[in-house]
Amino acid sequence: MLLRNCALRLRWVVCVGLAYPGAIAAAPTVKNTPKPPLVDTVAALANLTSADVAQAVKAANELAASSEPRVHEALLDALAFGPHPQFVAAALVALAAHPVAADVPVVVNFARNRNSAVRAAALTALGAYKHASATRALLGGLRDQDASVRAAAAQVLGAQREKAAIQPLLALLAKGDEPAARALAQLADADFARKLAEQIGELPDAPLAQCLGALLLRDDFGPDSARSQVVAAIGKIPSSDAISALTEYIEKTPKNPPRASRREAEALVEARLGGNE
Amino acid sequence: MSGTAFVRWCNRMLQVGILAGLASCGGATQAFGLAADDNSPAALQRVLQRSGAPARAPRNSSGTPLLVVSGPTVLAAYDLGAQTLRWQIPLKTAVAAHVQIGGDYVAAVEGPQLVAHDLATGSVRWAVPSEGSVLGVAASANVVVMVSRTGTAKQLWRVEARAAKDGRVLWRHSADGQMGAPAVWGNYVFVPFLSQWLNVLALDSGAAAVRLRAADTQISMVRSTADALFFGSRKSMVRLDSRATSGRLSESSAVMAKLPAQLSRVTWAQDVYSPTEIAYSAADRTRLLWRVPAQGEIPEVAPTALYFRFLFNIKQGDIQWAFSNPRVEFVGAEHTGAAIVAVAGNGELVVVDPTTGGQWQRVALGVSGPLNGVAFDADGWAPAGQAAGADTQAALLAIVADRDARFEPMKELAIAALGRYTGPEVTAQLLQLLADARLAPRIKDVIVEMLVKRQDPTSLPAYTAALQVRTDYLAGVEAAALGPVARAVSMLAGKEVAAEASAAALATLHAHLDDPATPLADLEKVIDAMSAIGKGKQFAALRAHVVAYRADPEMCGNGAWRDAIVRALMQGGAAETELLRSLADDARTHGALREALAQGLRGK
Repeated sequence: MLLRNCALRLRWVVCVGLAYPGAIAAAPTVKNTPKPPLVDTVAALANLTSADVAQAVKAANELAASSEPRVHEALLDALAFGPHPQFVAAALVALAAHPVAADVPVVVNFARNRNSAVRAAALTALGAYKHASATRALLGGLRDQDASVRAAAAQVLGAQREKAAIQPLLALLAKGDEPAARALAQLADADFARKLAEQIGELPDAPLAQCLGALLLRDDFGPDSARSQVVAAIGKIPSSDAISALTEYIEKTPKNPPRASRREAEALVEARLGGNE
Repeated sequence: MSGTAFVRWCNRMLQVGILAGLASCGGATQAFGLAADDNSPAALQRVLQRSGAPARAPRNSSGTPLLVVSGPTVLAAYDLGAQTLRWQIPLKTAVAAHVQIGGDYVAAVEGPQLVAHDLATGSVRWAVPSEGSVLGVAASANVVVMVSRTGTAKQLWRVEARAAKDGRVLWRHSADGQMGAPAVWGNYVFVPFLSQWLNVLALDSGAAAVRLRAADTQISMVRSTADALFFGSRKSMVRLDSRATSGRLSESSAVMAKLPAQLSRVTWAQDVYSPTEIAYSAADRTRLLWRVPAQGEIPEVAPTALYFRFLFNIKQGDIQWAFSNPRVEFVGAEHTGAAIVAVAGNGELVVVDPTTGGQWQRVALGVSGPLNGVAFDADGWAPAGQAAGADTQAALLAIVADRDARFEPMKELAIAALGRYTGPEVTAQLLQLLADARLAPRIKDVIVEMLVKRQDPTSLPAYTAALQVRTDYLAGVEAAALGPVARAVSMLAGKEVAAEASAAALATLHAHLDDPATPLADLEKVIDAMSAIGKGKQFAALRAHVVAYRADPEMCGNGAWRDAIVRALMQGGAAETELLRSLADDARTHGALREALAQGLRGK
């Protein structure tokens, strides 16, 4: 049975080699010293190709802890055989836990899978790779029809502070995509925040308030005068989304040392709520 | 005969029965009694001899080709020969019946009056009250004939002739049975009676000249041209000649045409009994325009159907040419024998060559205000010079692209006609329409069916170009035409396709095969299309595709996809068979796909 499996594997790798070049090209270059195995690697490796999807998923989850080259290779092999989407998602997490450049074509390929959960998992996994084709795939993910896939791409691009993502994220913000708001907040600087504030009324209130609010919460965003400008900009957003964003800023910022921007936020909230009463 | 027409015919026959009972008690004048000698060949011969043998030329006394147009507040005469507006006068009320052009006058029903206007100036020559409801007016050189109905509980129909000169009554007849709108030709007036008879009366005296009875059809339409008179029904018309006394279509000089089903609304002439067609109506905008010789054999007629803004010339049920008037409907049109003359609601005169559909002339009549009807006296007239070259393909495409929802049957007709035109240009334009979100889904379906049926290999580059559109959420683009286009490409299996075109199409289809935005319902068509034009080069992509999704429950649970991918790979060679066997044997392959593979392989 094992021999038969090996023969099948070889045959399929040859068959799909063009589509999944990474399956053949992946030359593990992981040089980390293997940690003591927490799981029975041999058993888990055997289960990676199990017809029982739950068992294969469990094996992939277990092997995520392993940085052994043979594990990495086995994961790539298993992904090349057209496995169940649940297994793919788990295997991609395991693969990205110990990323090597040769994984990128394989992961990029799954970023175009028909299953949206697989695409989202692949894009999240690509966050572990700083590679041009990974960035292209992530930017492509922002164009996906599925909101969860766009959210995955936006999150990674935001975390990577990928400047090329600003324009498409802005376009998504205009369409009301909330993940785009969070990603933009990670990418923005004081200058960008000012430009964003100029678009109040043109961009939808909720994601714009969310974006500017998230920007305020960033530790690395400053100085406080820049935060004050953002607070003032949020104050101009007419809907109640502005109050939510400012309230969150007030709640998550310590009173001391005192910040002018926090006081201004409090004043704005008070004025708005008082006005409502 | 349509259902409604049949019911109406039955009612008429019932009335005939009632009248047969009434005949002995009187109530009907002799000309409209039931005891007349129908279909007398000798009497008809006398009528034909004394009809004045008119030629194909305008009938007004000046011999000038003329139009008289009317609108809600205007009546105007236009001299086609001189290309000038002769006169226009304001109307207090819109005309209530079709306007008629006589010798030196124009007869119009204006409100409760029958009015004669001077043809040279438009001034009112005389006006008399029109008793009862006017059902129609006809005008000869010197006599105006009007048919009307009076009474409510007991209705009485009356035909009345007045001198054109002064409006005095020359003669009148009444009847208990229904009369239709009259027509004049030569020295006679033709009065339809009870849907079955056409009573022919001498214009000068009102004497009954002959009565024609149709045995196998109704007489609900009468058309008078300068050189001939025709009568009949929706189905066909009969020329008034010596054979007209047979009463049977097969033994008469019949005018018939095979029309596409979409043009079923279009009629040979005005329905003389229809209350809605007494005045100008939509019926005047859905009319067959046709001419046949006044004598001798009637060749196969190729009428032109007027349908609001469009003209379709039809021969044996197929469109020979088409003409589309931009934006504005024609309120009426006439075949003069040499040209098709149409008047649009905005006061434009449009003349079209009846043999090619090329535009001959387009001029503004210069009439104030919108128009709703037109009377023609222009037999034999055509503008000077040559008609422009016709572009039926462009006209048909314009019709398909028209936004007016009323014209959907015409769009279907135009699409069917476009099926004749092969080549990438027309395909590209049709594909452009398919991508138009505003086009009705039904029309898109018709376009797709036509493209599929056409199986035009020269269109492959156009299909490839259409397939370049990819779904993109960010850009707000959707590859909506993917499924239909892929289906059209799949019909090219076995056709001679240029290698370059095939390679380009395959690459584009491959991109859609791998695109997660491709709807599952379209994947089957994409796979079939790749198989149809791939020439074997599709197998690598299809192998990778089946391996990638062989365990995907959503994909494998879809029967259409399973069948398509198995069918496509079964056409392959040893490598494909070997792969399919491996997949069928592997427990990790989804059960439904394994079953389909096993079934396919059993037949291999």
